Amino acid sequence: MDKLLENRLYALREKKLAQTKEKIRVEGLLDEDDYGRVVPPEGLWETIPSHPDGSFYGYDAWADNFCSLMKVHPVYVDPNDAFCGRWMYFMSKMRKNKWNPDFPYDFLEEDIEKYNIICGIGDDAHFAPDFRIGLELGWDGLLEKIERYRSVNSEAAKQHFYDIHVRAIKAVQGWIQRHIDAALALAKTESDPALRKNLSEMAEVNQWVISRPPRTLREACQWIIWYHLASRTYNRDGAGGQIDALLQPYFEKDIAEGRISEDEAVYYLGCLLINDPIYWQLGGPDKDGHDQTSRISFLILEAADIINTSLNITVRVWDGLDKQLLQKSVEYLVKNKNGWPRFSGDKALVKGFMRNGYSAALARERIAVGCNWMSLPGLEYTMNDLVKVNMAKVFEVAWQEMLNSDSAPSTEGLWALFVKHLYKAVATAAEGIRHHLKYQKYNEPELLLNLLSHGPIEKGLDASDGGAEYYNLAIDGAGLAIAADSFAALEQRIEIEHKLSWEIVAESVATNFENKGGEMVRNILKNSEHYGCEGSLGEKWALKIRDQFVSDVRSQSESNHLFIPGFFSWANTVSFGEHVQATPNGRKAGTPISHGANPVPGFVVDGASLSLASAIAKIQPGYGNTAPMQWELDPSFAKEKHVDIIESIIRTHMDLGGTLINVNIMDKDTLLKAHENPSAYPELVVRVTGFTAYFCMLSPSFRQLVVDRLLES
Amino acid sequence: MKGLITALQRMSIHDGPGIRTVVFMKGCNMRCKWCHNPETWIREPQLQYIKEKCIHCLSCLHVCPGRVIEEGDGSMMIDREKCTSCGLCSQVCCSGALSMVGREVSPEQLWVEIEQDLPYFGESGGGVTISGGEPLMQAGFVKEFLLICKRNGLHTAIETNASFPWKIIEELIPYTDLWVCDFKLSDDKKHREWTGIGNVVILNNLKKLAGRGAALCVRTPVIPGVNDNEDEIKAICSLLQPVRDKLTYTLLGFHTLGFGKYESLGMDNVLKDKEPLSAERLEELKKITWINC
Repeated sequence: MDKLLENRLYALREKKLAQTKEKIRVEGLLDEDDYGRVVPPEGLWETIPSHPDGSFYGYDAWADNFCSLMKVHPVYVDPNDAFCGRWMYFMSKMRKNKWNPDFPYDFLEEDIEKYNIICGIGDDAHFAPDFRIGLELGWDGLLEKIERYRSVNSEAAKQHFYDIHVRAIKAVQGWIQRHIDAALALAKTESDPALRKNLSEMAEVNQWVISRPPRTLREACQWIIWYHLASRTYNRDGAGGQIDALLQPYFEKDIAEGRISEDEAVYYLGCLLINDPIYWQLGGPDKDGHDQTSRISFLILEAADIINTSLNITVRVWDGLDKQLLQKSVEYLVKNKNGWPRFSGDKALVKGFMRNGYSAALARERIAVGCNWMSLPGLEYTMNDLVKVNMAKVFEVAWQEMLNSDSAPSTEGLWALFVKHLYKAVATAAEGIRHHLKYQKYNEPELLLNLLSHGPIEKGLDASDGGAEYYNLAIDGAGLAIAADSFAALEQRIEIEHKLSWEIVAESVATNFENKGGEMVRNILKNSEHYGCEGSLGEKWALKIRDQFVSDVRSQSESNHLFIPGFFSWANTVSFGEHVQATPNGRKAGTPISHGANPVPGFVVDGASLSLASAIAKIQPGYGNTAPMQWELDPSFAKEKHVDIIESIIRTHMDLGGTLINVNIMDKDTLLKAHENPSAYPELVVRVTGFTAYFCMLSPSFRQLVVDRLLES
Repeated sequence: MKGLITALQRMSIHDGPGIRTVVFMKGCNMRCKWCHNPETWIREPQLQYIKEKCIHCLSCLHVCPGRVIEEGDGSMMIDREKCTSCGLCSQVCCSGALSMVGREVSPEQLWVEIEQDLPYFGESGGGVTISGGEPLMQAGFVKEFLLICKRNGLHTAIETNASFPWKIIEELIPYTDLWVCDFKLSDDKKHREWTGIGNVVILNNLKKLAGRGAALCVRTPVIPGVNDNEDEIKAICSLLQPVRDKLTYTLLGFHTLGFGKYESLGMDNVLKDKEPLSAERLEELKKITWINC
């Protein structure tokens, strides 16, 4: 690559590391994605409350806050960058409360607490914009679209709806204008001719995209960045899209017309990727079933390799995927060991989504644009990754009820109680979603995501309020392996082998295995047949729980609201575990629950990768949402010479029904040293769950989680 | 017919092409002093005790019919002379510290365990490798099992010391896609001293295998102080010279990963003070002659 451009990317990478360090210094540790966010200046902006509780709610308040922030949001122009802008404020996190107390959900709270449900009420974003809308229309085109539908929908409420969206767009344009001014000012004082030229071009690009649709690759990337930064600022929306297909026409036109070289394209793409670790997709089928891999797919990987920071690129694995793209992506995975890219399984995802009654063409457009989540860009309101049922807690409730009853304990009786409580937990989660859908517009309307959706502007309705085309609502199960292994341990050790009695197990679990002989009981339970081993009792129970959960979630569907099951715990394994007492699989009280669909760590003595890949492929809920495989790959295996082997495991997992693979390749010694002294390893990136993060930014308990997972894998 | 195996190793990537499952047969006619699989020597089940896993619940002590287990300082003490490997203690061990190494399986049962990974074999071009121990000590069982593998279109490999009569080897050729054989020392006497068996039959068998056009990979485990010198490697190469175009030949570095097994089985490890061969030394030795893999 052109050395000048490559060095600029290296400079941006160094700067990002310094910004991360600064974030930790000023804001402390953060158990989340890196986001590319930069620390804001102290005291520059505060939220404007609209409610006596000190928070802000509803259309006007969100518009007021967003516009006031855009007016003062610092500009960010770096002469080494191809693009302007960084985001700094977590507007949605700066609220005092995230749910408007005028719409209480007391009627659900008892069960939410009882089953340790993450209910998602008041949560935002987590569905995907369709960047094609913005790239086609530009900011002024979006304004024109609003005016066009304003004339169709004349009701006062809808007129107001349009007013505030116009305000939001104009606020973003004002923010862009201040960057243009800053870039021009910097260009005047910049002594380096190459950087001066870059700054002038940056200003020109922005002078165009401030109002008009982009014409070139650089303009398209800058437009995407502006929309994304605004949407991130508004409510942390991090969904990306099919980036290679989005940018392909601009890239090919630029190349054909001799406007840019491939090196310049890689530079632009590197700058786009370093701006924010958005969930971008590469390859995979288009709506007609043709693979979308093109030259730019490879250049995106090349750019990612150069910046090699925290990245969330997903390669869509399917039968028609360009073989070289998969090979190249695995090569980068093992070369950099930074958790990117990850891999989605579009064969099973498409097939599963079609089981909801959708066409193949539509299903092929549904992509993995978040930690675990799937979305049809611009078409679907999903609440993905926001609603979770802690099945380990459900098990605990059933277990307690059985022990407190007069009936003789048995796994059969326990299962009946588990079924009862699982249904109640799922119904509670679904009711929470319904409550959210009813009132979210009064709480937090989706001003930015509405703009790049098909429907909200057309109908004059918020995406949460009937504006979206489809409502495919996600409920994820967590702690599957804890529940399954607990059932299996009880059946094996008490009912089949008669090694233990119900009384002894009950006493040991109640005392956290600290009673006399408790450790022995714990070991007996812990060494029973785990979920993850082919044909084991653990697997039998896991499949039984899967079927029940899927059926419960599906049963909540109504005519225009489908409910889709998945298995994912995000990073809630720690907090979920804190709420669950000791469990009969030998797990101690308060320790983390199992991760998503993964078996408990150490579930198998040998061949863990294959067992994991087979077990998770088999446990898929099967309706188009994911149950990711969290794969900890030993660096002694993850070498260039084994790329073919790793590739074959990925392909086989997807062929067997797998939906998403999140990979970590970490050296145990390095990780242990980094755990002891995180600041000495500022560049160490780990894939915590669906997202990647700098290890040094994670809290000690999260670092421990990653360490434990690796040590026991 | 039943075979005695110690373990299956899934996802092996060092014992033939692609992703493989390695079947470790129990029983070996050699006693290589550097062996990292000593649990495969004796052709009968053995008691293994991993003291790090022990939680000192003393359950084993109470069930041992011969009273050969005692509570020691920090771990259980097993009188190996008197232990009959009846396995009762392993049945009550809840932590996995005590276990029996060696179980009987029929070829059909073994296939059931193997077939779960068929999709991975197919995608990676892998298959099954029979190792040990010495597979040819249970040649009848191995043949039956390989037959099932071939019926199912699987790639097969055998890792053998090739010290058996040619007739036994010849019978397995139709079912074996790859032969992996060790040739450890050039001098027959020294070979006998370090492994318990001479090398004349082995060399003849290797030449015959190569002559039959079998896919053959010959390896020499390089053991510090035994054969880690240029003269020895050159001498082995010289013996293999007549068939060098019909096989691949490589060196394997000595490692200490199996040392813990000696302790857990109550066996004496005569090389316990040996250091692993460095990767640099291995690469140096590989350069000295026509080693082609």
